[in-house]
Amino acid sequence: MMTTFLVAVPLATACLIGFLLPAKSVRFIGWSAIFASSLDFLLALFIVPRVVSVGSTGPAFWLSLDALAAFLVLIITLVGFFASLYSVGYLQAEVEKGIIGPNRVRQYFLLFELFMFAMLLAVSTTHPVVMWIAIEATTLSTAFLISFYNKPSATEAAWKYLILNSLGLLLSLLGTLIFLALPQIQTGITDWSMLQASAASFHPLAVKIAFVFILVGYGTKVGLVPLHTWKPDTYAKAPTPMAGLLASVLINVALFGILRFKTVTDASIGTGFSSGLFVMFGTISIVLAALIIFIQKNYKRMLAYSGIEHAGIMALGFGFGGIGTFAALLHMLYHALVKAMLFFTAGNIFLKYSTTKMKQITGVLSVLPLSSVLFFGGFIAIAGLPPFGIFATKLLILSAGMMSYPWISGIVLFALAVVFFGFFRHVTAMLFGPIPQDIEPGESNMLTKIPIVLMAAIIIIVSFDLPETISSIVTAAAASLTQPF
Amino acid sequence: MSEYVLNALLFVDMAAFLAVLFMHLIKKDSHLIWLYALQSMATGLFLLGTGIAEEERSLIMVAALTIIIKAIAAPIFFFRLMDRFGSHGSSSSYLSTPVTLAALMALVMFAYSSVFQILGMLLPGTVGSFPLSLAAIFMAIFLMINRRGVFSQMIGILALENSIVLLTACIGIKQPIALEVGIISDIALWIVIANAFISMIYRQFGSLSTSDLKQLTEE
Repeated sequence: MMTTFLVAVPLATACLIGFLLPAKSVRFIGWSAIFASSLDFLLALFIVPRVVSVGSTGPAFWLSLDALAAFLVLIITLVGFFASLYSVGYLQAEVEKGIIGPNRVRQYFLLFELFMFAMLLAVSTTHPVVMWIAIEATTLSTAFLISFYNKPSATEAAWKYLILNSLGLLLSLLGTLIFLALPQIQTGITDWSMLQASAASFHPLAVKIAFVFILVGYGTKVGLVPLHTWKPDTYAKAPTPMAGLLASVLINVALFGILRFKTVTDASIGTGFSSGLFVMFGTISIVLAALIIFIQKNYKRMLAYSGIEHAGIMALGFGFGGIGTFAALLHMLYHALVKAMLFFTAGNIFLKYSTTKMKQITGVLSVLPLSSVLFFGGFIAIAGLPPFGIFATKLLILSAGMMSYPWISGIVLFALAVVFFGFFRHVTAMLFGPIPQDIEPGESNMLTKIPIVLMAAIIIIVSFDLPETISSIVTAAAASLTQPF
Repeated sequence: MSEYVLNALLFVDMAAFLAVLFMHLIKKDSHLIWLYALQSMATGLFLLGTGIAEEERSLIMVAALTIIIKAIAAPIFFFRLMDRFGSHGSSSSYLSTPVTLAALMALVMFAYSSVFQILGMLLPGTVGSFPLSLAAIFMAIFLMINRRGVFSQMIGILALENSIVLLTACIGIKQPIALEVGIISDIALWIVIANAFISMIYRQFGSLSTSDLKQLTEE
């Protein structure tokens, strides 16, 4: 029942915003979204300990949460809460600057809530086809948010996003349907557990073909190289809070889709096949992203390539297995928080400088002291420097790979060093230097500051002292991925 | 599956395969839409025939939805869009026709290769239909890659979806009616959104050719 309520909250809020609230009540629309996301986050805080103690929430309407799904729900609702808070402040600043009209705020939050609904449904459902429908719905709900500013470049980015993701998702539908055709039972598969239970009887070659379709399909949504081409354009053109949400949370939802099928594949043919693919895609993603980050000229694109790099790191962790799986799951949380905070601080920079080109941005430290300090802190954290959590997860992932893939671990370590120097070069150039003449120092409004400060506090807390409940849910989720039966 | 249904499936798969093949050979957007309508109608009629033969009401309902949404409403929607912009354009290919045909032949050979044989055996009697559906899938993906028009990209996605529906029939998948309706609703919504984007692209770029979408590369 709680799971149903969790999923229903954003849908109900979308209906409220779309049908009941007048477009001019901008403030009320914004606070409705904040209320809905905080309610969902509170529900997640209630559900996660229950899942830790009981194992899963009871099934209702094809909805049930096991440890992995509950962990994803926690990430989605936590980042979703901060994204809604930041969106209110960001859109308020854009309305004040005349970039958008007040009527667009309703459109934004309507699609925002539908996006949240689709992501929560995708991770909460027990049925593979419902998960596919929900992930497809994430594409449909966000397409208009990417073209939000009605500029030709934004429309082009949104079209690219729509076509490439739809192509990828149709391939994942094909993979899903092949998986559902494999069991030799007449009643039909209705949930993940039934699929996993019959995995041992599947034909190995059929499983491999189906998993490749799944990996290519959902991998497009994750943004693994070479399926990543939509990502930099999309993140550069979407409204910054939405880009933050796409980069930090959607990536995890799509990865979740692959992981569900990975457990079935592993149960059927062993871990070698899926792990090999994960390691291959992960390594290519990290290396290519590292090279492009180094020569990047646009900070939103730089963050997008950072997302591709971290998708690769997570894929590598799941590919290495063992402690790597645990670290990759934890990396999902840390990355989601840090990447969202980086995008939000980048949003504050964009509000002030009205450009995403790094060459035109200098003196941010003097213009936006708070945002720039947190942007720099976010860079330290995302680059994997101690004492932040990402340092620990990267270390664990690489150490997991040292035994079985020493060469890969070495190459990745080198690529991560390139990422650090690339980031350092760009970030220091933005923070220091003279203030441009037409820029007036000072942050925008409180709601563009509060979320990033709170997120920074949470990042520090979970880096130094991971709460027992989170540790337990990650351990349980990792166990479900490595020993599904 | 009865022999009647298996024969019907083979016939429809051939029709769907030929529709995608001709999509590669013709240039006009309006012809593309007609071929898509034909492919959708064949898919819908197959589902209808199967539903009647196997006395499955849910399948008949899915068939009706497929015919209404994909074979009738969507093409009307596309033609209206073309009329609104006075555009009866054509889209060229990146590869020349002989090279395109050679690539298509390679894709068909790949679909018939031993790699996929195991999937064709999942449902006895569909060994002939399965590679045709798979070839149609590969060719639909290639259509999106090889053509310059946004219409071609959209029709490529929809032809791919039709081919997946037929392949699903070949491997014997039956979903609960709620899920079938969910998938069709997703596709219907996708068509509406894609059309909205095509309108926006035409307004902002004055063309429906992907060659003119250069805003991102020029930044």
